[in-house]
Amino acid sequence: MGRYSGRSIRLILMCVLSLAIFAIEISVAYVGNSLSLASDAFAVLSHLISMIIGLFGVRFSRVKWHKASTFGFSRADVLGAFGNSVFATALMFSIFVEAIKRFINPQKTEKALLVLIIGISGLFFNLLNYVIFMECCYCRAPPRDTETGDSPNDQKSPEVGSEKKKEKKSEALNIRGVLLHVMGDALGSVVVVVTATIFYVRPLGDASCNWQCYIDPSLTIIMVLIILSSAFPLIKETSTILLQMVPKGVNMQLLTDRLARVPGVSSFHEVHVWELASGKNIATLHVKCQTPSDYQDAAYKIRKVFHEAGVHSVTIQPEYIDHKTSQLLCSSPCISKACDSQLCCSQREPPRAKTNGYMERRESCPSAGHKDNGSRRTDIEIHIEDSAAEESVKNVKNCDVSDDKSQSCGTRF
Amino acid sequence: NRRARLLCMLALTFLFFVVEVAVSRVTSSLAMLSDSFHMLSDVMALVVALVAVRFAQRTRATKKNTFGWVRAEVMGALVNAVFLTALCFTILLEAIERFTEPHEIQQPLVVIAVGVAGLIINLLGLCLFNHHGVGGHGHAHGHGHSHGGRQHPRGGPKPEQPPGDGEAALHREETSTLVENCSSSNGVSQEKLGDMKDDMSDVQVNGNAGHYPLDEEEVEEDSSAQLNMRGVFLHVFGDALGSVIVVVNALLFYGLWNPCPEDGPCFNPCVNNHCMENATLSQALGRANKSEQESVTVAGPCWLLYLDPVLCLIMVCILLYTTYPLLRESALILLQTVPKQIDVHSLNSKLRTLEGVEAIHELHIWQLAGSRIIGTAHIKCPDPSTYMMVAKRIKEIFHDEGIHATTIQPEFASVGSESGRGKCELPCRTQCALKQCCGTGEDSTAKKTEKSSSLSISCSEVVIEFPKTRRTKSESIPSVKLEANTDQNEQFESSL
Repeated sequence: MGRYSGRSIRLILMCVLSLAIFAIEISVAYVGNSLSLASDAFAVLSHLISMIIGLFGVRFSRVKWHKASTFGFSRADVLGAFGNSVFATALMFSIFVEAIKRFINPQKTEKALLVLIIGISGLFFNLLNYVIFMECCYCRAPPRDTETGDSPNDQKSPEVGSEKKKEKKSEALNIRGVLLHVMGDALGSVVVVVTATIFYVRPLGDASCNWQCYIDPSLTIIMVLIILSSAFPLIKETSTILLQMVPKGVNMQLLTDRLARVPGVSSFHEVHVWELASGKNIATLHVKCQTPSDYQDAAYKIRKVFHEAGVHSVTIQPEYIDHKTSQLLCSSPCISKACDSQLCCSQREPPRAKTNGYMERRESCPSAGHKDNGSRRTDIEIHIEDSAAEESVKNVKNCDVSDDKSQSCGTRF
Repeated sequence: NRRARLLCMLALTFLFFVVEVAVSRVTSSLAMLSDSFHMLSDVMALVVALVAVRFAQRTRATKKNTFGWVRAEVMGALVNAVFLTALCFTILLEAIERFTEPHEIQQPLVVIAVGVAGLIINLLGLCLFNHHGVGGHGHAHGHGHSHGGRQHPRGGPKPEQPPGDGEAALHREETSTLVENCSSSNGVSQEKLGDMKDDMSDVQVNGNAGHYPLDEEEVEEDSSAQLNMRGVFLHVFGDALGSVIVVVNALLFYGLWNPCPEDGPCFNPCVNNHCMENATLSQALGRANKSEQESVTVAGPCWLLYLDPVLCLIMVCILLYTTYPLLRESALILLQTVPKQIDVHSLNSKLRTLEGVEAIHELHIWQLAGSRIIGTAHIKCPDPSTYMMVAKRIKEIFHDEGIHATTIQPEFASVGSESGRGKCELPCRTQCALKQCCGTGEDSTAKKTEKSSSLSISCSEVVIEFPKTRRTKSESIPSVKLEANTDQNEQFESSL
């Protein structure tokens, strides 16, 4: 705890300092008519915002469960990083526009000395930021691992070790974002210093613009490109999480293959794997089994498969087969067909032949979930099962698992 | 339909942008150049919204995304909202700059012309998107409502039901196969339930007769699409405001401003140009003292110069005020929060009061996008047959709240583990506790956020595995299986 508050005090100090630097830089940029200084100021601003988000994100991630959000707020980090990157992109876009305008209408940098001084101090401040951040935020990771009691000599240690490494890497998502910003700032300050020096050494006075006036916009454009190149990967990563995509380390094909091989599982569907925040993967699936005992056997093995894939929170819904329902369809999507549009994947389409039907069904299953193609058949295949006893369950065409390997609605492809 | 509108507006705006750039080059008016770039930002917002709409239509699951891309529209809305905020910020900075260094408007007539043209285009855009704009707000809430809104478009299942199918009459809605194994006595109760359900849906159908005329597309446009359109609407709105300001400013300028003529002495009190000021002042005064005082023209009323930044500030305030709700809504969805209309605590208590349910944990409700709400829960039951009986009720409870995609995991208490009431029977291993979405059970208000508490959960599985993790090299996978099997055997006994 002591470390946390120490770091947060440092962060707050840096935030205040950044705010001051931003204000100074932007005013001098307007006074001295230097575009690169303005872009540097914007970079400092987005850096500041990411630090603030980092501060809040850390606080929020500690909340594990809340009435408003059953997952806690661990995603606040990710969302903050995404928002900040988009904000930075928008600011850079406006700077880019300014630079284009400067190409059309070149303007001189006045008060070169002032700009130079501010540029140098900005550079110094960025380096200071960099140093402080390197020091304070890399020492955060280790203690957590020792607390879980993991012995590093675990048989599974290569996997666990690599997982830990992955976890460390991905947990520093927002921190990395901040770091990238800081490095971009440093570059920006260098650009400012270069431009100001040129104007200081060869002042233009009242003369009209010559080649010197074009240096500012060109270097600014380069700087914009650099900053954008660091913002875009962050946007990509965070949108992977926000869009509920399958996390990077998980291979769905492999996973579903392994799941199909678990004995006792006739078929499965509605497999969803997503990432809550860095490192925390969640999965849900519906499994069709013959009997409850089958299910309990299979449940453990299914979890193991997921565990090996890196997914540790799994919710498995068992469904029991009878001769009436097709093997492919979900037996319990919701209680009424009217809810189909609110299911995450539509159950509308009827299944066809086995393997083919699986593929075709896969394509049509959640096809444009909300759209119905006009047909309002509400009484399709989801048959009614009333009192199929256990023996009828056994009479179901109990295809071997190998056959059913290809039948898993949900997300096989 | 949405796409058509977006494409149309995109084409118009881009065209106008090109025209404005050309005109600004011809008249070499810098102000128009900057205005044209505002149009460009509009174009970008439209592009973002279009991309989001394209993506969101792929609702099927894919290898990369098991939920389909439905969330793309929410992300598009967020991107647009953040973009708009950044735009407001730059306008704010510009306005502050204008306060310190007021500029005159050159060639006000041209500015007026272009401003009016831009305003027309923006108003057109507003009309195009108005349906989704602020008015859509109320609709979105209507969609969120659990009972009524959903059932109506699919109609009562009653009319389409195949006649003479006795069993079908029992279960007009789909039933889970979990209850299928029950005896016929249960079938009777299901019939009652089915009837009740039908009555309810009938009532709702009647109650929502007003919604029937809505065609499929209107209904399909659920709140995520509306979020996206709202983002675009706000952009166009902001642009329209900007055009209004430009036009007003230019008009007033044209009408009231006394410009400095090219020739002759002129004293401009508004521009802070100290050196020139003193020079002209002394010059003017000197000449005035000598001869005609009236020939010195003083540039027009200074407050006109400050009109622009003031109006800009007002515009920024209006924009931020209208953007903030959009930002909040999309952020809340993306944060996996519980949708506003659902009360998790009451849901929890409803589920817990069902007979046959011993405990509930890992209850998670979140909104995928629009009206697709997803829920998962682990339900602890004494044995599988109780679970079968209770499963349908559970689904119904979820359904009543508007949660239609649920995954319920039944857990059966192991023999003799009375202490394990609230704890998960099937978690992952201990070392995974950090990587689980939630480390602890949340029966209570869950202040147990420390990792130590998650470790001390005496889950039946965990207890078995805990000493194992302390061992070093000797463990291997087979040993894990062995111990797990004994656990399974215990569960076998309890269920049998």
